[in-house]
Amino acid sequence: MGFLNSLKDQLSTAYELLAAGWGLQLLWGIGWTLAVTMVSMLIGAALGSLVAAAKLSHRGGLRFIGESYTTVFRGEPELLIIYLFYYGGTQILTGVARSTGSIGSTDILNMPSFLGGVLAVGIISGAYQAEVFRGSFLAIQRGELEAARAYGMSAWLRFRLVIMPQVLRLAVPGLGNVWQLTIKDSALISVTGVAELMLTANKAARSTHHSLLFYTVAGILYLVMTSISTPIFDKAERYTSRSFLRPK
Amino acid sequence: MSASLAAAANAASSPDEASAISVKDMRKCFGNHEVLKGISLEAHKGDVISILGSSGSGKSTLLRCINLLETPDSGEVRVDGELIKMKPGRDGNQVPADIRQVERIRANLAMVFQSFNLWSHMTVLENLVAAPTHVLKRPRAECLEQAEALLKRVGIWERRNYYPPHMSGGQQQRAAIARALAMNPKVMLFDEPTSALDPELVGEVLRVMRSLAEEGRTMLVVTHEMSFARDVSSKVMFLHKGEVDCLGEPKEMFARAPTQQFGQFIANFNK
Repeated sequence: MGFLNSLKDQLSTAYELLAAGWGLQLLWGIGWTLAVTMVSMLIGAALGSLVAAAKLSHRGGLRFIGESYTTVFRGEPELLIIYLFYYGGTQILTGVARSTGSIGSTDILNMPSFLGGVLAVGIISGAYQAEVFRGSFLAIQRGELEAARAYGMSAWLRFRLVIMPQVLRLAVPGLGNVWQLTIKDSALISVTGVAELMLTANKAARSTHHSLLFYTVAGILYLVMTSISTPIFDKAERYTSRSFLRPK
Repeated sequence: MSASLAAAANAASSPDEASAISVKDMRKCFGNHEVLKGISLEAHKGDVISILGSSGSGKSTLLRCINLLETPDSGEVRVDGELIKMKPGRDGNQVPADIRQVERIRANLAMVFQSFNLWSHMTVLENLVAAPTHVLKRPRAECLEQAEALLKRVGIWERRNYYPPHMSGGQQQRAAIARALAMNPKVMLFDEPTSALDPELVGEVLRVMRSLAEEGRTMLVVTHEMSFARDVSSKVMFLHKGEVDCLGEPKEMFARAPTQQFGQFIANFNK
């Protein structure tokens, strides 16, 4: 019975702590985590499509740039990239601001933490999205691209009417995976001071000494976010691939 | 070289009013393999020319060089009297000088492919209006109306909201022919339109093609359908190893093969 009583105590402490304000802060943390993930995904989508186009280019130089991008940003630890952008960015900004005299010679101009964070995570996400887009493009039936040429479509029309809709359709499952990766990477930008879920859980754990409780709660919240996204992407996939499913 | 071929080559050098397509001395290599060894072809308005030949004879390449899906290494192509402008490329072979001109001319040369190549993410109706609205910039309502009429004509109007992967090969190919007709093309190019079809579906596609020939459309048809070549086309061109082996009226050519090669070719088909 001692165990049950102690569990009951634990739960009531947990309830008190969460009700005392940590619960609300964790909710805000979720909001920031989703904001970081979405903005990073968008930055990654823009970079990823450019990099995919470069990797598919006929020009050796562009292909080299694309290959280097995906090799570097998938091959380096995410944390290193984040430090590089945040602290490296701060050093560059400070240097520029000091030399133009807009701040004093001993002042420091910090990289805005949200911006530094989403740039770093977005660039990493872009490396994975580039691979997804490239694979999707290669999966388009060559004949359909040829038909688009044969009917007088310009390169832009071919992209807009035939390539883009099919790449998006084929990319949805892959993008679902990248979205999960990006949610997890977003936890790393707690080091820059963005009050997302990881940082909030950390703060709560340290100031209340209930590490077990807060990391478990944060873990559950991350799991909820990553697993809710699965059915959403499944639904999106069913919608975008409707032309390949049997009509009802 | 037969007399009619000489006449065709002659006509190609002085494009006349009735010329729909004129090809002059077209050459094309893939690597070291010379696929087209100087081919000339003259199609007048209303001509239905069947292009025959065993596989590897260059017949599909010839068709694809006319709308520049492949770039011919040398030679001239005129469509409706207009020369497709070429310029020397880096490797010494010619490349299109003005891609806008090529795109404009392609829109007049609707192609029907062996494997249909309908856009799989669009419904049949969307397939028919995509190029007319975006390439020819015609009003969407007008294109939709025409598309529905064309689908009725080829007998698949009730499938207009289907996606191509949900249809049989014969239906897809009829949709592809309707897509070609929706461009109001000056010439239609058929690249083995029945070769990918199950035998029982060939008839429905040939019927549509025959009706197009009967209404006086200009058609270049690469095919293995001997009955179509013999009964429907106005001219037959037989390619052998990248050269025009013989060219003439189908009735005469099938009654008495002008060359030994062609004789063997039809004998193989009649086996």
